[in-house]
Amino acid sequence: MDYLSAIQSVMNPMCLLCILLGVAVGMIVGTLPGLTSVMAISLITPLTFKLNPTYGFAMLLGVYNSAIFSGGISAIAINTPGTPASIATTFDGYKISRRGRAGFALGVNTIYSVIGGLLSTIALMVACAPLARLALNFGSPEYFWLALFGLSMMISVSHASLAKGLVTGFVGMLLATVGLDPLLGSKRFVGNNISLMDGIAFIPVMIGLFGVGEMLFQIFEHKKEDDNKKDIVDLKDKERVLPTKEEHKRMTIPGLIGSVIGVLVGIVPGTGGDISALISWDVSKRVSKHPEEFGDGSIEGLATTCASNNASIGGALTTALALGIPGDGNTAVLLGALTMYGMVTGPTLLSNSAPFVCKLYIIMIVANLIILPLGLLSAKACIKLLSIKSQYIQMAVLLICCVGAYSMNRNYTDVIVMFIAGICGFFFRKYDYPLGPMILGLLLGDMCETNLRRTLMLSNGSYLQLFTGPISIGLIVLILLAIGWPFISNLFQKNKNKKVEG
Amino acid sequence: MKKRDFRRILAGAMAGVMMLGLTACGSAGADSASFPSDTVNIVCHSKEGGGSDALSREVAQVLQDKLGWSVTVENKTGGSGSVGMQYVQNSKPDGYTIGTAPVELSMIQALGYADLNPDSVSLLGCGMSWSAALYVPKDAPYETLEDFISYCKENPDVVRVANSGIGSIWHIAACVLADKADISLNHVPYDGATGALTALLGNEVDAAVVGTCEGYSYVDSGDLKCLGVFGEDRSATMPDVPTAKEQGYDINVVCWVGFLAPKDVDEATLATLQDALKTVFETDEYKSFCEARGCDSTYYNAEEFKKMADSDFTYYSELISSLGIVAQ
Repeated sequence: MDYLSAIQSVMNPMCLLCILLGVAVGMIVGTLPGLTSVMAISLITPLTFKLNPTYGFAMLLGVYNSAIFSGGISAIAINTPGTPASIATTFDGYKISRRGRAGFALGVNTIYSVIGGLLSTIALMVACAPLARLALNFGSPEYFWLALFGLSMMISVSHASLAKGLVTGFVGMLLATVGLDPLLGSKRFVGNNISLMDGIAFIPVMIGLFGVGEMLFQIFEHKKEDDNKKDIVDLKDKERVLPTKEEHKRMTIPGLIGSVIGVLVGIVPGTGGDISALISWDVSKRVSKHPEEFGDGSIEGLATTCASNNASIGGALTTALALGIPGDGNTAVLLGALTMYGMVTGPTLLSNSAPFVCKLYIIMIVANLIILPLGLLSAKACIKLLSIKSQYIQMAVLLICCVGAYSMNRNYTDVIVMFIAGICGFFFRKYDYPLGPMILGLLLGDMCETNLRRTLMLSNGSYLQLFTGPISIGLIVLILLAIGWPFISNLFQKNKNKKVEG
Repeated sequence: MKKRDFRRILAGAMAGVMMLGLTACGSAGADSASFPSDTVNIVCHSKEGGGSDALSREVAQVLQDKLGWSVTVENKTGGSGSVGMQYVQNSKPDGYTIGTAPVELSMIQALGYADLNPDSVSLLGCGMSWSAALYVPKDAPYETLEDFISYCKENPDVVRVANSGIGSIWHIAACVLADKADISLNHVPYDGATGALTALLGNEVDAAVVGTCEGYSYVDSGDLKCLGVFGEDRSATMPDVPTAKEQGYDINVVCWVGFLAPKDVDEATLATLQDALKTVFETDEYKSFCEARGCDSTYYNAEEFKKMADSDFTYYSELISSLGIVAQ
């Protein structure tokens, strides 16, 4: 019954307008690298207090969903993830777009983001309370193994050369140690620069490595890239935004994998769309029939990452609504907004404010449905934008990168960090060192270290603590599988060959 | 353009008054009469999304609505708040740049993070505070602070207490508890109060010391018990929970977020800013903002605020160095 009245109150012009406004703001913020959804939501929150709570929350959820989706737009168009959640989207999305099929890649991004968002909303509606309890089973040992599992993906994201991948990966982990020691509070590699005390800011490094690095590469290696395959694609394909039936068939399973992993990873506090998309990409690669295409413009890889980062929203909301635990900045602001609307967040929210939570589910669905046409329309517009002379695009991207890196924390250290990362990105690209492992190291190094040391602190130094608990064991098995996969699949291959021969 | 010309004329007219022995510099003297004639910038020490960010934006909003000031909020984050506070400290002392003053102002010097203490800035006033509290799981074998302390005495170094990060105010609070009750605890730092509470809900630790406003909803829902509030008075969010003082332990650790300006802002401007903040803190809008967040909106004027910050500074500095809370 709650749902009926919820649908009624959401389906009125004012509320729909609020969602639409939110989605539009989210698209702008999400597309611009450095401007994050957290920033947009916290800027808008005080304004929403003047509206009624439903309208206010409609706007905020619109921003949240649309910012995560549109982070993929810049990942695809200019190789710069608009938000960290779209890092994995650059792996395949940008390659597809360089082949002249930007419209198609943007179309896939829209459709699969919406699918991921809708599936995760369904998960949220059906199993919010029980799923959220999963978050509480995640203690320090589990976080350690999850981080290690993520780090084991260095292997699959360094397609060119494993040795080169490990080099960049460990550089990333080393950079992650800069800042205050998480358990002792002493300074590490900080010197006298207090801006470095919180560690090297992740977003400027990301913008530098991907965006600036790629643009520098295009500028300096101009001649080699001149005959890029843009012309190979005929005009029809260039203009096409919607995938064909066969293409949809190939992307269905990766899309589902991405959604499921997105929800699960989203539930765990402290992890979100960035990690879920990377894991989904890795898993989809392993089960795909065309693993060699991954990292070189695979539509399956694109679909799974797009679905996964949007699916993580439903997961994050699960923990936030059922337990009052914000897993990231976005849900922290959303919970703050809820308290301002007079609701008590925490385990009592679901039962005490059930009608409002129902409205929230409906808003999630509507927001995703609004993203679909807007996204597809913007894809058409993007094709036109990308046909501007590449010199202009390069300059514009460099400018946007600078502004983005500065606006994160409004300090110049970040801009310097971005340029250093950009120059590194350029050389990495030139000598074929993969970026994926480095990002993994930066993203997970700290989580891995802190949780290992915290586990030992909790157990008074006993390593046994790491191997108890079903989730830990499960993750250990996954890690062993991930590392041993090449050998295992080789064995299978041999057996198959034998059978064929026999 | 015209505005600027007008200001120049005004400054000229004031010059005569200056000669009578006012030491304030010309332009500042002219400005203080009409302060604020421009946009006031609030520098927030924490990221978008945190409680202090929400506070800055609320104050900016009320200043705009009630006094017609034009106010912007800018986040400058890092170094436990020292990046933002030092930015304000070093900005032009014309009153147009003010900032948030978190409790870390009384701690970061002792922690060795930055050379900053309550004397390096002018404090304007404080209207948001909340006390520390001790939380344990609902099925824990102790009902009062006394039970907990005697359990810890019987089992030294066994009880694991989660806090919101090394050198954070709740870490200090747990250390004060151990110090005053003469017990030995195993302090485990987590990522913020949320991280500590999540660990306690997941039974990874035996207790957690975080703020009243961060944990009360879990006490309401019955997932956790609160054994004591480390404040002068009981918390409005948990009126049934006695303070540590009522239970015979003089533990008082309060987290506050006030506002500061650079040193050397002239008296008149400073007074305008202080009055403006007082007006904000006394509005119903602001009070309901604090109430919704589970915080105390008691107003401390500039003097009271300075006194509180100073006494915290003295006590925490002593504690941090004697207990060796942070490895150097």
